[in-house]
Amino acid sequence: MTEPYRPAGPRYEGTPGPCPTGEDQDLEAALTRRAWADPAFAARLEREPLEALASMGVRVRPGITVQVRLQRRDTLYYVLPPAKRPDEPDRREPVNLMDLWRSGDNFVWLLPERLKTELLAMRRSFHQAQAGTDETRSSHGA
Amino acid sequence: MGHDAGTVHTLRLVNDSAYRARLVADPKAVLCEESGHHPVQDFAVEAVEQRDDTLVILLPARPEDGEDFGERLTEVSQRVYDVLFSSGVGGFLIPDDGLKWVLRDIRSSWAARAASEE
Repeated sequence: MTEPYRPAGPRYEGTPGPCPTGEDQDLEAALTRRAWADPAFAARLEREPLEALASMGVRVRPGITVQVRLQRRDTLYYVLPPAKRPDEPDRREPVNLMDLWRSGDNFVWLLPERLKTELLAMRRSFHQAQAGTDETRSSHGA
Repeated sequence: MGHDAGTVHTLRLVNDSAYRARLVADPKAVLCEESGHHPVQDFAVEAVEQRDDTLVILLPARPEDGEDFGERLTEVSQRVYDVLFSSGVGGFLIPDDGLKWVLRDIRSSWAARAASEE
């Protein structure tokens, strides 16, 4: 595996260039970087995701489970819709389907629609925490 | 309404807890058994269950040998795909083109088998 990227010289501002380690502003970038560069962290993300995320300052509302997998190129991921509840009658309508080809090039979130505010909160709080520690970037209200 | 073999299978995964448990325990075996297709290529299948209380993250695949870490990171971390389900959505994530035709061959074989059993 290649070494983590560490550019010499000034940081990049406002451009999608690489950031020095630890200063990715978006949750997805930071998580991906760390999981790629640190196999022990990647394993921890899969084994105890809430603890691993907490170590990056990402907190999740109690009662919510998070599951993390690092996609492997030799693996097909078969996404299953939720099982019906035992008390429910059998479903009969065909299930919506999606296939994502070259998904290895994507950061994918699968979550129930009702948890969308949780996802937004995770992204926002991470972004604000990073922006708050970045001395050269002015803080935007967003 | 008549359902094809694929639809029947997906509905079974939703309605039949024993069938679902069997697939989750060994998805590759069940898919190959149902489809009648046993690819020679070495690959794995993982079941990813959607649940009402769970956020699933699938991280992009690591850079390959010789790929630039920083360039790949920038590119993939901006390709974010949010799937927000209500009753659910099924299907596959295929990380790499190398497995594209493995999946398609499984599906073709399955359809052909279903057609021959009609």
